[in-house]
Formats: sequence, structure tokens, C-alpha cells
Amino acid sequence: MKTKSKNIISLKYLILILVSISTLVTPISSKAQTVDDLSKKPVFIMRLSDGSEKITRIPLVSDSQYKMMIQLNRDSFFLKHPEIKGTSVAVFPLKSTVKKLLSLNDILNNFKIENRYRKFDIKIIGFPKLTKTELETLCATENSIQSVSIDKEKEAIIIKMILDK
Amino acid sequence: MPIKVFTFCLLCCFLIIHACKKDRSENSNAAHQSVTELKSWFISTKTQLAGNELLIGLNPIWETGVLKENKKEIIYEVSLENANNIFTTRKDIDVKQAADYSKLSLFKLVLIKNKSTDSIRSAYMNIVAENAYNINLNNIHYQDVANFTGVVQYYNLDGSSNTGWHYINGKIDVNFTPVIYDDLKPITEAVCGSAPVYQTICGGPNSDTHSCYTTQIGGGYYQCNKSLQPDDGGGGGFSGDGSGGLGVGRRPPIVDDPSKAEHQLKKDKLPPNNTTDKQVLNTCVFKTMEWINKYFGGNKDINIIVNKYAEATKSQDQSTGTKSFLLMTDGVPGNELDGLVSMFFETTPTESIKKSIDSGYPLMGTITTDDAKIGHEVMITGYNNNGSIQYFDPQTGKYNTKSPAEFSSLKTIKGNK
Repeated sequence: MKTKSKNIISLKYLILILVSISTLVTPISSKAQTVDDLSKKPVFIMRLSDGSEKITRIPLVSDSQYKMMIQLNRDSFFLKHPEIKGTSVAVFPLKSTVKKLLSLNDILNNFKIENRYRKFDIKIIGFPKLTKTELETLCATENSIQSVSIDKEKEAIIIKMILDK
Repeated sequence: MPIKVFTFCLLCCFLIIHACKKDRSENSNAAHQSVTELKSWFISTKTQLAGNELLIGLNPIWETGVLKENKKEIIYEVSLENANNIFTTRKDIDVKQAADYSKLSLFKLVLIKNKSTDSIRSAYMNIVAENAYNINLNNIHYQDVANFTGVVQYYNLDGSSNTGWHYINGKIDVNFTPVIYDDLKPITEAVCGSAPVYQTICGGPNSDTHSCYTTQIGGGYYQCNKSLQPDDGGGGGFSGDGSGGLGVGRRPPIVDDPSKAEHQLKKDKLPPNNTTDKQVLNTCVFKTMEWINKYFGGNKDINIIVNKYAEATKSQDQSTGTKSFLLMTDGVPGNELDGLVSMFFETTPTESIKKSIDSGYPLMGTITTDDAKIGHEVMITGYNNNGSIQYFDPQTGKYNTKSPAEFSSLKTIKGNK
């Protein structure tokens, strides 16, 4: 009886130690993944011709559209959006031919990417590796994506944009 | 008889009390008049200095004023609102530590009226503690520093340095006076330190509502003299009338108006001061190149420069637009700067900023930012006799000055390609 009680106590200690280790490890690794100082990056606004807007860190637009970027008065923007941090604010006034803006999920759905691949890294050709937060706010115009393919070997989803001629 | 004595005593008491009351009232009126006069003098002097000041945003909170007097002078000490978080240090600092250092610095206004001549003088009194422990800087007063260890220095109302005193446990150790250079001389042995002046603006054009931007706005070198006069515990004051440029105070070591340098490139070809034509996103390199191109009579704007460089350096599967976007968003990597500059400009080796400017050549130079890993590119346009370097900042659209040591990766531009 005594032995059983001792075993139970040591089992409790073991569980306690394991829980402690897991709580120590989990936050650090998750923190490492989400560390992304957005206050040092610019903010972009995608503005459709109907006046609706979407805020993003990674705007995917056509080449000619990139040249139409306009810097905004950052003070008035950050007063309006105190929850957003950033170095500067620029807006893309999109052409009237653009009717829809796509999120990363929309892009993957449009190109019928199966759920089993959606845990793969996302690589946008021409862009450096994007952080999780950047990907979450990614915003593309409906006519800017040429293809989305799967690289099973590298476990990556490759997004290719349309190149202007 | 006792009634007569009692009445007499009562009368005497009445006269004494009445006389005292009158005296106090007269004193109070005199003090009130002095305060009004001191305030008027300060406002009038500041009005004359408008646009020619370094310490902008130090505004008196008059209701905090404390009046005291000695045999010779009436002294009025007033707390200051410090809208731009101006602070000084005793050495150049990493701006990341600005918040810590700003706690060690406090500015007050001191107005003094000489009782015999009625002349008025004034200065900003700057108290700089050497450590943060158990110090309430508000308890340090003009010539009354208790057992303070640190520096009390005075700035004329135009922001130029007046004089300063170093204290150890309330006793003066060293008196220091600003050194004025007549040319870009190397620092001599007489110089015993510098006193850079910084300001931290939060929510301004260079920061968002959550972060702040610290920059050096002035400062100079000092010559130290061991205090010759035995200190009675009162402490040192300041010399001159303290108005700086208007009075007998010294000229500031940093020129008041940074858009005017004593040695400058051709003014009519330089960017206008306070322009709204500023850099977009992180395009300081490209905007600086645009201004230099214009200086040499070119017409390549930022879009032409970015696109040409993007076209030449994009990867095989990358569009020019994407590469341009990334260059404008992330800036130019440090190791690509030489290639970019040589694509558009003829350059010549930089011997010194002074020599390049004297030859009529603008320079590109990198200054530090809040983030030590990120540099900020500016156009160097002139220099002053006190050694400060004038530059045009494409981010603010304004001219500013810094010490030569604060520029790196200097590139002297001879002309456009």
C-alpha cells in the first residue's frame, strides 16, 4: 500500500515536470514563430474603385499598378487606426477593372489547392520568405495571380504572379 | 494711569501691526510687479528670437514660478513644459537608450533681475544627473543644489551654450565653457567633453502614434576649468543676459538654422528646405539620388532610377514591378549601394567632407536610425565652422546638421552618368 502511494506521488511529480517542460517550451517556440515587428514595416491600403478598402502588409498587384502607389499622411491614418503599427502608409488606387480582392485563402481556393497541402510553406516568386503575419494579411487583386502550384519535395506552395509584358 | 498705559500700548500695537501690513503689501506688490516685468521681458525676447531657436517646445508653466531674492537680485525660477522631450547627455548615446537618459535631464527657466540696475537676464537651466537613484531633479534649484552630483548647465534662450558646472555632493568640481571652432580643427587637449542635445518626438512625421523618434538637434564641445573660487555651496550661475544671439551670450556651436550652412553647395540647385517632395516608403537612397541628379542638371526622378535599377538587378523569375516594390519597401541592401550609385553617377574618392563640399561636389552619406542595423541615406550639402555637417534629409524634406563622425559610407558625387 505504501509503495503504491509512493508510485502515485512520483507519477504526479513526473506529470508535473512534463507539464512544466511543455509550458516552458511551447511559448518560446510559438513566440519565435510569431516575432514579426510590424512597427518597422509599411502598411498598404488596397482601394477599389467603389471606395472599399483592405489593409495589408503584402499587396499583390500587377506591375503597372505598383507604379501608382501613393504615400498617405501617416499621422491621420494611425490616429484612425491606433491598433495598427507601421513606418509609413501607402495606398494603391486600383483600376476600375479590378472588382475583387483576394486573401491567401481565396487564392488557394480559386486554384483548388487541397487541404492536405495547406500546411506547406507559402512561397511567392520574387518575394523573400514572408512571415506568418504578413501572409495572414496578404491581399491580391483578382487579376494578379498567374498560377499556384505544389512543390511536394520542398513542401511548398508556389504562387506565381502575372508578369506585365 | 493703568488705563492710559493700556491705551498707549494698544495704540502702539495697532501702529506696528498696521505698519507691518502695509510693508508686506508693498513687498507683495513689488514682487508681483517684478514677476510681470520678468514675464514680459521673456516673452519679448522670445518673440525676437522666433525662428532662430534650438530648444523649441520649452514653454514656461508660469503658475509654477517660485520667486526668491538675495541682496543683489530677484530670481524667478519656472518649470517648463517640454513638448519635444528635449534632453541632454554628457556623451553621445545610442538613441535606443533615449528614454533612460531623458529621465536624467530636466530643463527649468531662470529669470533674474538686478535690483540696482534693473537689468534682466535669463537662461534655461539644465540639470543632468549622473545616476537615476533617489533623485528628484525638481528639487535642484538655481544656486541651490543640496548634495547633488551631476551637471547644471545653462543655455541661452536661442539654445546656444552658456556655461556649466559639475557638482560632486553639492560642491562644484569643474566649470566648463563651450569651445567655438573657427574651422574644422581636430579636437584639442583643452576639450574635455561634449554635451549633445537630443529631442524625442512621438507620433510625429517620423514615427507612428506608438513609437517615438529621437534625434540629435545640437550640442558642442566644452573646455573644462577646475573651479578656482571656493564654493560656498551656492553653486554656479550663468554669464551674459542669456538671450544668446541678441545679448552677450556665445554663439551656438550648432548653427541655429540648419538650412543655412557657412560653407554650402550652390544654393539655387539644392532641394528647397521644408519641401513636401519627400521620400515614399523606404526610398531614402533613391530620393537622395534624385536630388543629386537634379543638382547636376539631370531630370531622372525616383521612378526612373528605381525602375532602371530593378530592371538590371531583378531575378530571372521576378517582375520589374515586384523588384521595384521590394526596393521601395525594404530599402537598398548595404552591399548593393556602391553598384547602384556607380550606375547613375561619376564618383571620386572622399578625402573629407570639407574637401568635397569645397570642390562643389555633393555627397551621399549614411546616418544611423533607431534601429542600429538600418541606415538612412541623406544628401550632404555643406558644413559649418564649428565642425557640424549640413545635410538634406529626404524623409523630413528638411535640412539638418550632425557631427562628421555620424556619417558613414560617404560617396562624393562628381556628376551624372
